[in-house]
Amino acid sequence: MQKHSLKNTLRKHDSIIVLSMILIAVLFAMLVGAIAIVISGANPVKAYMEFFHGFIGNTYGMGELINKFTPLVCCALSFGIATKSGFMNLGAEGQFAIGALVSCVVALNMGETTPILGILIPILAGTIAGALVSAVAGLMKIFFKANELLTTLMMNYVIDYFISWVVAEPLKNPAGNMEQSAAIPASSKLPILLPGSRLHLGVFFAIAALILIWFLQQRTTTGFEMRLSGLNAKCARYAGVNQTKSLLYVILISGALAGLGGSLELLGNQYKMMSGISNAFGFDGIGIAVMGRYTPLGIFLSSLLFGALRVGTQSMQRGSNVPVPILYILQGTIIIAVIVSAYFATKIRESLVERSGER
Amino acid sequence: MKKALAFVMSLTLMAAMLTGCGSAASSSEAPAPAESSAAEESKEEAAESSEEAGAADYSNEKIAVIFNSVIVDGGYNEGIFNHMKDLQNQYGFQLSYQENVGDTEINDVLRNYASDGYGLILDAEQYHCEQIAEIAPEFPDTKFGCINGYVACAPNFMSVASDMWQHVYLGGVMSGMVTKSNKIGLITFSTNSDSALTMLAAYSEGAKAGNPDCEVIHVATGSFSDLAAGKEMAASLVSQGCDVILCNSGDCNPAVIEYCIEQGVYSVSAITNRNDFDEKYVLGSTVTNNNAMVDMIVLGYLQGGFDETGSVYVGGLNEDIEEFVINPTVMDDYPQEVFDKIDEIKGKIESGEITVELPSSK
Repeated sequence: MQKHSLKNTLRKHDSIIVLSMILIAVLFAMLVGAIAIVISGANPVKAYMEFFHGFIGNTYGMGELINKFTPLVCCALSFGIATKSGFMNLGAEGQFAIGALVSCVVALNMGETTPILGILIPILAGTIAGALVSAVAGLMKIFFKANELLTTLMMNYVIDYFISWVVAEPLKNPAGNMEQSAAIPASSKLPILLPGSRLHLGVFFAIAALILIWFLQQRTTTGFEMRLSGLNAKCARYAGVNQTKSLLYVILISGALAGLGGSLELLGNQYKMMSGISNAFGFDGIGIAVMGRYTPLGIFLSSLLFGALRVGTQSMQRGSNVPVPILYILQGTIIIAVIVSAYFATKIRESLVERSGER
Repeated sequence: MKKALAFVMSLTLMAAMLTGCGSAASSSEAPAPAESSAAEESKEEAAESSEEAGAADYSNEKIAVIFNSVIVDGGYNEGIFNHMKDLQNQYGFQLSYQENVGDTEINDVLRNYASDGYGLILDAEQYHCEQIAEIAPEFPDTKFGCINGYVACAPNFMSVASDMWQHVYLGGVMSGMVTKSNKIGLITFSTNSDSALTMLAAYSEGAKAGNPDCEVIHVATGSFSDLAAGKEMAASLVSQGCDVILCNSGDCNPAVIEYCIEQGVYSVSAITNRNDFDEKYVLGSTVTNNNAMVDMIVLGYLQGGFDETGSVYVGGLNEDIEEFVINPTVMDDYPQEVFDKIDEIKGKIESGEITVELPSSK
C-alpha cells in the first residue's frame, strides 16, 4: 500500500513540480533582468511587454518563434541523443553549417525542378553531410581514442573558417558584394505555412525528428543498446552490446540531426549560404538538451523557451531600445535559473518521497 | 501541498497571460506597437518644440536605424546613432534602433520593422544593401535607406554613398610625404571587396603623388569588431617597416590608432575625426560625413526629396560627404610645402582633374 502511494505521489507531482520550478525560475530571472534594464535607462515593464508582444498576438512573431524552434530542436536532439549514449558531441554548430552548405550546393546545382525533389534531395544531402562530419570525430574516437569533446569542438572552428572561405570565393554570388551564395531556386524553398508570417514547412521535419528519436530510444533494441552504453559501458559490454556499432549509430544520427537543422534553416529561412549561418543554434542546443533533461518532451518545451527568448529580446530591443548586452544578460540569466531550478525540483520531490515514506 | 502548488502555478500563469494579453491589446489599439516610454517623452518634447517653431509635426513618424555592431564603437555607428538622436530631438519623430544585427538576421529585422509600421528603415551597414534591395519590394509603402550602400534597385530604397577615395587620396598624400621608411600601411575589413580595393587604389596613388618612392602594404582584419585582430594587423605592418598606418575596419579604427600611438608610429584616422587622440602621431582624419548622408535620407523622407530613382547617390568632397581634416597640432611639425601640396591636390580632385581607376561597380 505504501509503495503504491509513493509511486502515485511521484507520478502526480513530478511534472507539476518541475514546471512550477521552471516558471518560478523564469520569473526570478526576469526580476533580475528588470534591474539590469532599469540600470540601462529603459522601462522594464514596457520592455517585458515588448518581449511578449514579439511572439504573442502577432502572427509574424509567432511564425518567427517556430522558425527559431525548428533548428534549435534539431541541434538539441543531436546533442541529447549523443550525450545519453556516452558520446559528447559538441560539434553541432559545425555539422549544422555543413548541412546548410551541402543543401545549398545541391539545390543550386539542381536548379528549378519539382518542389518535392527540390526540397527532399537537398535535405537528404545536408543530413548525410552532417552525419559524415560527425563520423570524422567518431572514427577518431574509435580508432585513436581521441577525446570527442575536443575533436568535435575544434571541428566547429575548422568548418567555420572553411565556410568563410567558400562563401567568399568559390560559392560567392558574382552578382553581389556580400560574401554569400546566390539564392536557391524557388522549387527548393520550403513552403510558407501561415499567411502573414514566414513559418515554413521545416517545423514538421523537426517534430518528426522528435518523434522518431523518442521511438528509437524507447521502443527499439538499438535505442536501448545506445542508452545502455551511455549509462554503463561495462554493463553494456557484459550484456553483449556491440559498443563500436552502437557508438557508430550514435555518431551518425547525432550528426545527421544537426545537418538536418542546417538544411531546414537554409531552405526555409535564409535561402542563401553565408558565414555564421549556424547563429549559435548548435551551442544553444546544448543548453536546451540539458534543460530538457535529454527527453524529447523536455527538448520540445525548452526549444520553445529558447525560441521565445531569441524573438522576444529582439522585439524588446526594437520597442524599448534596451541595449544588446542587457538582452544577453537577460537570456543568460533565464537559462541559468531554469537549469538551477532542477536542483530545487529534486529537493522538493525527495521531500515528498520522504513524507510518503513516513506515512 | 498539492493545493498550494496549484495555486502558485495558476497565479504565475495568470500573470504571464495578462502581460501577454495586455501587450497584444495595446498593439491592436495603438497603431504604434513599438512605442516606448522614451519615445513618448521625446514625442511630447518634440511636439512642443515643433509647435514653438511652427514646424510640421513628425511625432507620428516612425523611423528605425539598424547597426551591424554595437553603437558604442567610438566611431561609425556611434556617430550615426548620435546624429539620429539629434534629428529625433529636432524633428520629433519616434526612433527605434537595433544593434549587432548580423547577415543572418538582417532579413528578419527588416521585415519585423516593416511589419511594425515603421515608415523609414535606415541601415548603417553598407553590405546589407543587397538584402534591403530584396526585401524592399515586399513592403512598397515603407521607405528603406542605406548609408554607404552600393545597391538601390527599388523606388522605395535610397542608398547614399561616399565614393570612398577622394579623402583617402589626400590622406595618402600626407602619409607619403611624412613617412621616413617609405612604407605605409592600410588596414581594411577585407582585401578584395570593392570598397577595400577603392581605398587601396586611392591611398596608394595619393601616397605616390606625394612621394613616388612610397610603398603601401595592405592587410585585412576580417572583422569590424575584433579589436585584437586590428592590433595584430597593425603590429604586422609595423614589423614590416610601416611608419604610417590608416585603418578603416569599424571598431578596430580607434584601437589601431591607440596602438600606433603606443608604438610611436603615425596614423591617419578613418571615417571619424580622431585628431584629438594625439598631438603628434595622428596626422589627420579622412572623415566621411555620414551625417550628411543620413540627412539626405531622413530629411528626404520627412520633408520630401527621397530619391526614388532606384539608383545609388554617390558624393565626395564637393558634396561635403568627405573631408580630409589635417590635425592642427602637427602643422608646425612639417614644412608648409606638405600642406600646400595637399591643398593643390584637393583642388584638382574637386575639379575632376585627378581621378582614380576604381574597381568595376556591380
